[in-house]
Amino acid sequence: MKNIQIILNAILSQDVFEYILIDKAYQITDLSENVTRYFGETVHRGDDIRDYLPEIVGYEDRIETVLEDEKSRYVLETVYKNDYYIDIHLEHYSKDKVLILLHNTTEITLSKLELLQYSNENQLLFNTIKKILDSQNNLLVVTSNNKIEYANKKFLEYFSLKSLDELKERNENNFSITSLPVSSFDALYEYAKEEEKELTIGEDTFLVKATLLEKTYKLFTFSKITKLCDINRVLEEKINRDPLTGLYRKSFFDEKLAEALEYDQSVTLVIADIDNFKTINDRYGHLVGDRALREFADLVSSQLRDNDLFARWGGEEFLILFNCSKQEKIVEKIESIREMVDTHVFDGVGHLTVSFGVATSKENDTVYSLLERADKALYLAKKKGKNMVIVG
Amino acid sequence: MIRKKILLLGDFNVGKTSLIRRYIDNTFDDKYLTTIGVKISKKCLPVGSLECELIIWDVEGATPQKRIPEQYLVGASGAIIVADCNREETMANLEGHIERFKAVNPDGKYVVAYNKSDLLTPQQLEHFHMIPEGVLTSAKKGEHVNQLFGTLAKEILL
Repeated sequence: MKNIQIILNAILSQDVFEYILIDKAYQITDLSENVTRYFGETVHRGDDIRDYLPEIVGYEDRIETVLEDEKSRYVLETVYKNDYYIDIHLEHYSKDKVLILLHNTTEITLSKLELLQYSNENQLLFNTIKKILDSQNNLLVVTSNNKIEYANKKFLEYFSLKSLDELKERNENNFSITSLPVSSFDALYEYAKEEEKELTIGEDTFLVKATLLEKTYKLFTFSKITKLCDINRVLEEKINRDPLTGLYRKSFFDEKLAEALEYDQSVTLVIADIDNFKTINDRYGHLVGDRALREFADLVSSQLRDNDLFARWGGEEFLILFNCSKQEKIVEKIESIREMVDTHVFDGVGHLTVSFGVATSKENDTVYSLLERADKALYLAKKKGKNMVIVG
Repeated sequence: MIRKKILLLGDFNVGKTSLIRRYIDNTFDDKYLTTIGVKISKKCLPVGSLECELIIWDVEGATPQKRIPEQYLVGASGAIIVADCNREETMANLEGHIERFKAVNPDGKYVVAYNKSDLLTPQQLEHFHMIPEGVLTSAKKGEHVNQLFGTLAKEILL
């Protein structure tokens, strides 16, 4: 008891600690002079401590323990009281009394508070920036020595990675786990540093752009454009296809023929013209005529290979391009098609025949010269009585 | 008079201090000032035929780096667990706060406040999903704040 008094006197003189003694009924039996700075001037001996220190409410069982066990003590840290921060120590004083020491920690707590405020504000800012980054396209940041430093949520999700750590942990060859189809990050940087470039990953197409962040980091942005590419493909198909028959249009056919001639490929061009088709339209009407054209297109298509190009020139005229210069074989093929049409019964129309003009490419041929020869051959087939194949 | 200790728990910057300030003083300040340690406020309210003094502990917000010390949780009869209804991560952390409170106070009651509801659009409010014990509150506008504390007091005392 004497020792405690000495210690108390010593520390009270440094203005750091204040004390209160309470009895079993929570009444104040003694207190140091400057306790009022925390509780106000009204605090007196005989008052209920819980009126001034409501922090004790809920701790009654612990106070019982402190009264009974001289080794028992209890501390409540960083409690705000009347513009001060204090630590409250409850200690055994006697079997009837508990010593409450109030430790003024205001100075250090205010420093901590300043740091905590700064830290929390930064955390909020960080969370906001992270949300912004995660809402962007796939982002990847790589250090100058080609280690992955950061990948946003969309990038991780695309490559089925659970966390950034999972990506970063694989330091030795972390590039390969992403299945990016390039040999190195340096190569990717060189590829996409000037402008956005297309990059195919699996079945998806991305626009990738590389940007240098300071001198230390490379930022890669991947914008997925697969859907756009699909839409473009659909649009291209619509532009290049004849809506009635589904065959290619003449413009597309000419383009492919020109490409073949430019690369000196030997090709054979066939022009087909359904004989006397005008009478079909006149007799049965245009709807029946259209149906016959579709049926004819399907019939011929069924006899061609995938790499043969079949197009509708217009009206009842059609074009076939064979990537082959073996004329006899092609003539044989066309002859069999002619026979098939000749024996086919067209829905609502009955019998139809078709005339063919065939021309095989020569050196220095152009689209025009080749078409001209095939067209002349067709003209001859028509002149000689129709329903025949003539080679020009 | 019956005295009961209740806690306000939740992530930092969800509006715990603002809810207390609205409840005790009916005031609000937009500026974010973080709480360190604990601040105690008192409020008397009638619950049925009983007169109750709530000892309200405004505990500093949890951060990813720092958990709430257990000494603050001991002896509480109830808790208001607070989330910011605009920040997913604070709502995801509700369960952790509830578990921690119940681990220390198995008989303790709790309610959940989804605060800052004034920032939601009417459509967002209409489709807002929350747990059954939840109340959408706005400390800024004072919406459902008294109801929140009153509900908890009734849960504890009745």
